[in-house]
Amino acid sequence: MSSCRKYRKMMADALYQELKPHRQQIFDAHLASCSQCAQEFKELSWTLRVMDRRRAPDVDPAYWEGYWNLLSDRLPKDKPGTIRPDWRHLLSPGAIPVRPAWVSLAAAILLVATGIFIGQSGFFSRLETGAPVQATVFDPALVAEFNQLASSYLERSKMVLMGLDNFNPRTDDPETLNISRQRSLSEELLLQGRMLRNHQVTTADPRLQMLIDEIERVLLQVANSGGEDPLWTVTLVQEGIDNNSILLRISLVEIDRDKEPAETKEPAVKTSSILT
Amino acid sequence: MESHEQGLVQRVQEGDSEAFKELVEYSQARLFQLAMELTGDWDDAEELSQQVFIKAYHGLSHFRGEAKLMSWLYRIMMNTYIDASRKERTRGWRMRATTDEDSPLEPFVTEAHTDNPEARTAAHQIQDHINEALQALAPQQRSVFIMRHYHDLSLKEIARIMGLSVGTVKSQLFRAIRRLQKELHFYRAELGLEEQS
Repeated sequence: MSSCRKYRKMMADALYQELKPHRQQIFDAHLASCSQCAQEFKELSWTLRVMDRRRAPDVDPAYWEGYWNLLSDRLPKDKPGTIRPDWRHLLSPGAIPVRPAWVSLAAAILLVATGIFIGQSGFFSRLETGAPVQATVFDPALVAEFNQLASSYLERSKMVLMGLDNFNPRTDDPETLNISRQRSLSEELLLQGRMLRNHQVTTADPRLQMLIDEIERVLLQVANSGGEDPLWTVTLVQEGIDNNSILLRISLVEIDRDKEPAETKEPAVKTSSILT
Repeated sequence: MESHEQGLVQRVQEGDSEAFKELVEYSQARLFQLAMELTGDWDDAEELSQQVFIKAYHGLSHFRGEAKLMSWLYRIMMNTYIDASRKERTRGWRMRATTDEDSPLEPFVTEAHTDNPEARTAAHQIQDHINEALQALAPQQRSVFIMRHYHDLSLKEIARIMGLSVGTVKSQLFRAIRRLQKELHFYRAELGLEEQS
């Protein structure tokens, strides 16, 4: 029954008594009238009772002594919780060596130039395709829709991530971060990303799919960050962006897309012919 | 946040080194258990859990106490684990390489508290079955199930810890339980379900 699918989605909540009272009533009423769902729910409940019989870990107490000794040797000698990278301690004048502006500018130009060079050389495309390339022909209307969606998504994601990546906890005012705005933007982008990932043209482009996945992981950190220190969220997000070179990879995809003529902007990796 | 946790965190934030040791003692068993369940290897679990404490040591000044201390530590663990897994994709954590002799949960299987050899064997067997069923789950499903069922975290907390939407966590949890049901089907008779289906 198609309505049963709806109630199956409620089962995980119901098993852990997390349904709101009115939904619980609706759920109970369905189980009373549907023997199949009632049986399934009963079996799942019993499965959890079996899983309850698993015994908790029983680690020898002596192990924890050695554990602490090992850990304390690896901890810095400063006092806990008050050490770097706590930005508050870095606000004092002279705490951070000031880098001349021209050094930052030169580094930025070098980074962009390297990105353009790598993008133009097609280095990543060659690395990731491997197999012989077979041309894909998509419906032009589909391609136009894809182009609009992809450009908007990549551009907006880049702006949001750059804003967070450029935030300097040591010098910038946390108030300017406006984390609630960042959260709602991230939520919008998550929806947009899902639409893009499921788009027919995207499904033929593993590189773009991978990038969307990486961007999604970072955006989820922001979207789910309610209630915690915004600076901690920023630290996690910056780690995610840097570890995966997300901004550079967005730029590379954009450069690849710009190189192709507007009417045939298609994924860099062409694997199969969908509409011929 | 519980007042005990709050007090501990406050003392650590004030620079009390002894309080950090207390914080480790307070949370080490649960963190180590989760690390063990994630990595499936004693050494990896030790390394992963210690990395979490080192990050917590640095990050406690950022911790304001809106979230539970354990949720915060779990979140650091999941991030560390996912990052490490991604970096070491080719080698991976050793959790996948499990055999009967080398079960990742083996150190947790203790003798049943009974003198009856038959009962002890049966109890031991149930532990084996449960552990095997858990190992049959996909890593993400296993993480979600373990955090919900054994660590009593809400779906929302798990979503935040794992960087997933609540909907995804819910469907992963449901799939996990259904898979466990299949893996443990031979308990149907014992549970009185056999004749009803």
